[in-house]
Amino acid sequence: MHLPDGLLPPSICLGGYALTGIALSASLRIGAKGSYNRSETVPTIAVMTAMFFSLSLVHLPLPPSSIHLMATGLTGIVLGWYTLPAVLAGLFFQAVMFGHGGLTTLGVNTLVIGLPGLLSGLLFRFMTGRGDHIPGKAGIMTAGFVAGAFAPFTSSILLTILLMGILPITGVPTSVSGTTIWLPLAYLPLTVIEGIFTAATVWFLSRVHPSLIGLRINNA
Amino acid sequence: MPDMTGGRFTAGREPRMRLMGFVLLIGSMTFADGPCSLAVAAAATAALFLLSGISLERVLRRLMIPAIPLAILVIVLALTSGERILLGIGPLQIRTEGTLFGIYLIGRIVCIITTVTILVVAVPFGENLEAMRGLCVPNMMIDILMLTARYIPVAVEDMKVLRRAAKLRGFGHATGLISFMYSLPMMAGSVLVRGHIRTSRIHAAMILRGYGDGNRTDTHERPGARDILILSAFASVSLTLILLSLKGL
Repeated sequence: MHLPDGLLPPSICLGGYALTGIALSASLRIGAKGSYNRSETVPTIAVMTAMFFSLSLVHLPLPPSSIHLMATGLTGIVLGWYTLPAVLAGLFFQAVMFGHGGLTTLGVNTLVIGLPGLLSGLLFRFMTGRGDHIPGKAGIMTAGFVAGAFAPFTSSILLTILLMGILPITGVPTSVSGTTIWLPLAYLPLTVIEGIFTAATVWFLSRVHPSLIGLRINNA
Repeated sequence: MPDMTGGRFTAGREPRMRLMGFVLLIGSMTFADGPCSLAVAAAATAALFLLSGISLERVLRRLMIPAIPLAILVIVLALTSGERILLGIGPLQIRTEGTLFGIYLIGRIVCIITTVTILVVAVPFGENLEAMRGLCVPNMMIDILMLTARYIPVAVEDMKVLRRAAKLRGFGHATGLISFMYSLPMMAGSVLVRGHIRTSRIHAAMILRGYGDGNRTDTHERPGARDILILSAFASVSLTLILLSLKGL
């Protein structure tokens, strides 16, 4: 899912940074309008970023190969509007520490991976409602599965659109760039696994620390 | 944490100027798509590599990460892109345009990844972060990066400990996907909850020790003539790369 350095033309890299800047600024502003408390917000974003990074190091066996989790859905559910800074920071560390992705493509990668994460968070909030009670197990797990699966699948679609648009410009024949249309299909196993993982994790969090996923404790 | 210790390229150089120089160079290397611009990018990369003193092995290790998908892309390009036939091997025909494109692509990627590796390895991470703060990157973003860098080893270690504990209690012995999916969400949730409690304390301690936005003071020295000279050199190479690329060279 990470586009490496040197693959994208400079105009796309610059455009990616510009759009990420705008999206980041907007999400920070909207996030700050909510219950913003710097001494709580920054550590929460940092711990989720560290989790986003750590979970990408866990390889799940999926014969004949293995896959690693993205955890963007979970990031979106926990951080809401602050998903983009977390994904940006996580991708930055992945690029500088392990060379996954790149610094010139950081803007584009943040949009491709972070925006679906942000939308997943909003989707989860929408599905679990804004009432004063915790939805039932089925409700939380369904919302978790949908939000968790939505993020990687949408990212794969965004990546497909991007590659199909960009590769012909850079000289790759349409016959080759056209094959990227199968990319979402290749990410289907990850989509399902992410959905199950997110559903189980949000269920655990709803029992242990519901406020972490935006749920209120039932006082009734 | 690998590749973040740094140590070289620091003596007597103003961090903001150095970071700006590297960013300019790395950004302009994305323009290198012809023989001349690629030669300039390669020469600049080689000079930086020799000056940095980092090991070739470290750079090669970093270059190996995108090697396989890129090799596939280059082979596909060489076999499908273009009209002129460079070489025919049985039913396969290697095409000139695709091969050239592949060579430029690989050259550009090697230059960018090497330069990024030099920046990351040869300059201490904290110094780069403070330079970013000095270059008007939002303070909140710097604090997040700083705290994340501090917390990543803790989170990775916590995951290992929880996994070991689960195995000792009889869970997660099998290595299959179902076994993983059974134990991983609980571990991730536990680490998240623990981390949420712990990072607040780490953040408070970091602020008390003088890190973070709350203690922001402009500790950067004014750039000296040498710093400006170095930045000018980076800017000149970047400008040359962009001009050569615009002329199609």
